Amino acid sequence: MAILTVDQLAQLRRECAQEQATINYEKSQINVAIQAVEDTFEAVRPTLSTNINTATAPLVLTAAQKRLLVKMWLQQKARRE
Amino acid sequence: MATHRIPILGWSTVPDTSGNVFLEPYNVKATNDVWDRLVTIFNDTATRIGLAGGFTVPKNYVGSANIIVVWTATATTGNVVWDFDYRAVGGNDAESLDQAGTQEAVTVTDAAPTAAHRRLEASMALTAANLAVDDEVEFELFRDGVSASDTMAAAAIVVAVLFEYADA
Repeated sequence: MAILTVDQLAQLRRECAQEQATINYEKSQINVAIQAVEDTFEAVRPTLSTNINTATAPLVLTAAQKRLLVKMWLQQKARRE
Repeated sequence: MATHRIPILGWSTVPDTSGNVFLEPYNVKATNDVWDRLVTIFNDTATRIGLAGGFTVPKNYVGSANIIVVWTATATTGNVVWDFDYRAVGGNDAESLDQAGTQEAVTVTDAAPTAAHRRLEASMALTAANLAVDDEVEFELFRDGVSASDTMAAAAIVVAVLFEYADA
């Protein structure tokens, strides 16, 4: 589990704020939300990797390919929702 | 005695090199896309970010000096810490414009608007005796993201900075 730095939190807060017309939360509140996302993703990361391996067996995607896959999936998922 | 306000942002105004203070058309963050005048953005950061400039103390200055930051935000909760540091330099061949340190630093913590884009005024009183007619006032206006009191999770949008004073 990685504890995000104050600069990483600030960057994410800024990016979230840019996408919204009204911000109804304070820094401390969005900070813990961002950290919760980080913690949750890190908790499921090993399971996700294992499940991808199971799906593609006997092929094993590299870690970089899996990161790219998750990044692209998440971008598309955000557009779909 | 009357109170006057003069705008102090102008050609001498320059953002710091952080990349987190910059000028942009207001309609980038405003939603109605009508008023596209220039505003100064102070991003939400974990640091102290600023804008430097200078102005001349008017001939009719007597006292009651205040700096008024006119600003707004898309946020409706949290506070911004404004910090105004300055040095007044006077005379003719008497005082250096290149002095170390500030003459005075004043701060104010101002709450976000209760509705997005409402006009706000944050006022900071200066020590009146620090200023004299015709002085060149060198200043930096900061948003202090290091301060625990700066809790607003969005950019501060500055539309004007005013020097308020009383005449005789």
